[in-house]
Amino acid sequence: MRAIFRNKLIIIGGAIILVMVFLVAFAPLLTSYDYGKVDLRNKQLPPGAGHIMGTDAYGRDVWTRIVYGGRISLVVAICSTALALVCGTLLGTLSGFVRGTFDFVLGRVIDVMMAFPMLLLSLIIGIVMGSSVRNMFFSIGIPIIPMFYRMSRATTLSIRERSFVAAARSMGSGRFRLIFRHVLPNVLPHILVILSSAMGGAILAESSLGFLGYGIPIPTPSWGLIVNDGRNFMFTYPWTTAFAGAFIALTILGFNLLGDGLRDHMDPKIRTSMK
Amino acid sequence: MRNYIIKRLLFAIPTLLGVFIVVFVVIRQIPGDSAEVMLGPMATNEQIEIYRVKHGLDKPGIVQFWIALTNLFKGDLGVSLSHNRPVMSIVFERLPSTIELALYGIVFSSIISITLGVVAACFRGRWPDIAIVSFSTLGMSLPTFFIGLWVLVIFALKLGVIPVLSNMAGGTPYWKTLFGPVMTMILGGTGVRTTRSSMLEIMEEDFIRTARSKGLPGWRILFRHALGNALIPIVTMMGYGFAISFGGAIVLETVFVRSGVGKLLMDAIGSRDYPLVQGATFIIAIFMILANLLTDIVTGVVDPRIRVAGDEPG
Repeated sequence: MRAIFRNKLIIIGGAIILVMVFLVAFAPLLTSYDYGKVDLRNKQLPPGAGHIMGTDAYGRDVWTRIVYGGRISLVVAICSTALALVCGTLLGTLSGFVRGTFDFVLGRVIDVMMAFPMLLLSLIIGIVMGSSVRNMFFSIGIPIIPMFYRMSRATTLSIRERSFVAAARSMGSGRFRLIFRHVLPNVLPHILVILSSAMGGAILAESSLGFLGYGIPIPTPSWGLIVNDGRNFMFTYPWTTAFAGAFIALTILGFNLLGDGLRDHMDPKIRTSMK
Repeated sequence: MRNYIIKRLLFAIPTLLGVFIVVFVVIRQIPGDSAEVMLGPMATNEQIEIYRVKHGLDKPGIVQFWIALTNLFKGDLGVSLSHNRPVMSIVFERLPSTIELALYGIVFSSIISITLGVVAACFRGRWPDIAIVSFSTLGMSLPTFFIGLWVLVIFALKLGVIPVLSNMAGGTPYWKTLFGPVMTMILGGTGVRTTRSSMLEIMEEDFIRTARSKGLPGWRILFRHALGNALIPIVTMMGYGFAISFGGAIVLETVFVRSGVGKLLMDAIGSRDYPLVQGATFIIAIFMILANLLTDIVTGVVDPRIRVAGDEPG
């Protein structure tokens, strides 16, 4: 019974993410409108037959903008998380394995990064680098690095003491081989568990930056940007923000559920979710 | 014990210095000179030159950094370009509002989270548990700004309980200015699952079984034995939550138009007031560091196991 429920989280979370990926991948087939086409005569139409999610303040079809915008948001989330994963895991594993001065100095650098609220760090990196989709990978990815760094370092610290590492060492494996053949493969499953919540965090960061007006530049629709478009009309016409926000929330929920499910699967002792 | 606290404090110093260096270096990389921003597009080269000399912008970066660092120890974070006043006094004017928000937010959301978490743990696997866990998972997945906007629509527009602009409306009762952002933090639902899982873990410990076999009443076991021991991760969560809410203040104060440090920072970024951006960022980072430090120390005091593990730096 427990096993089924545990899998349920993975199934529900995975299904939500799959649906989202499907929607954005087949965006051109799901809509007949152009995401950038302004039609001021039909602005702020409520959801109805012609526009299932209504139109925004410029008469653009919100459903179209959301499915196309999801492309940008998901690509940004995937790339920034991948950046953080590679940097954070490599540095963390190295740090935990080599220890000494390298570990100490890197640890302090990570401390400094963690002294900033993530959103603030994203904001400032974004402003310095200038706003573009590519720079967004860095401004969202860099603040996530500590998450992967700490997890991989902590895991490495315990793995390096295990007997199979000592065995490999005694058989003459060099540092490079030890890290990449023996330690890293054992660190990765733990990384996989936080990967999902990191993805959710990246989606959240993109939309929050968009909300604050420092997202991806106009006219590229991203979920954050759509939320920001609707924000000023929140009291008179909340539909735009409501739908975009719902998609953002649903996607984050999907990643959170998947992450919970994976965590339970990895470590049944931690009860983060319902069983 | 004392060594642990001293060690923690010593570790905070390089972090603070690092934060200052990062803020100083990074802010100077922002495209656009503050002289051009302040004097506008009509300024002549001569005017810009005079301005740069006056504000020390013509000196080499390392000299500027040294001046800024020595000034920092005198409690001087420079002069704001848009307010034309010392950054320090502007930030400290706004700071109480943010601290107030963070404190009330964390206290109320903790009370509700802990209550719900305990209830969920008691009804493990039954409908109250499933409902509570589902709602808090949903709350955690909703972006802060999204919850905030709906709190505004519902409580300010539809019900008219709170003013739309929290800080601006004069004469509104104190609690009304805090209601919106605090409500948003509560609906975020962060601590519920931590409390629940921490309670469930404790409930399986041997001493709980002992207490049960002694015939102690259920509520006594729940509150004295279980919750008392489950409190350590909960306190940690509250502490880190307090730290994080200084970051969350950026969004909350923007949504509810509260004039705290977060809003100040966003306005400063908007008007390219770099000394103010630098000062506000630095102060926010200091509060994050202090709140985390305090949490580490408190949990170290409460739980000796952490203290021993904490001897390992990083």
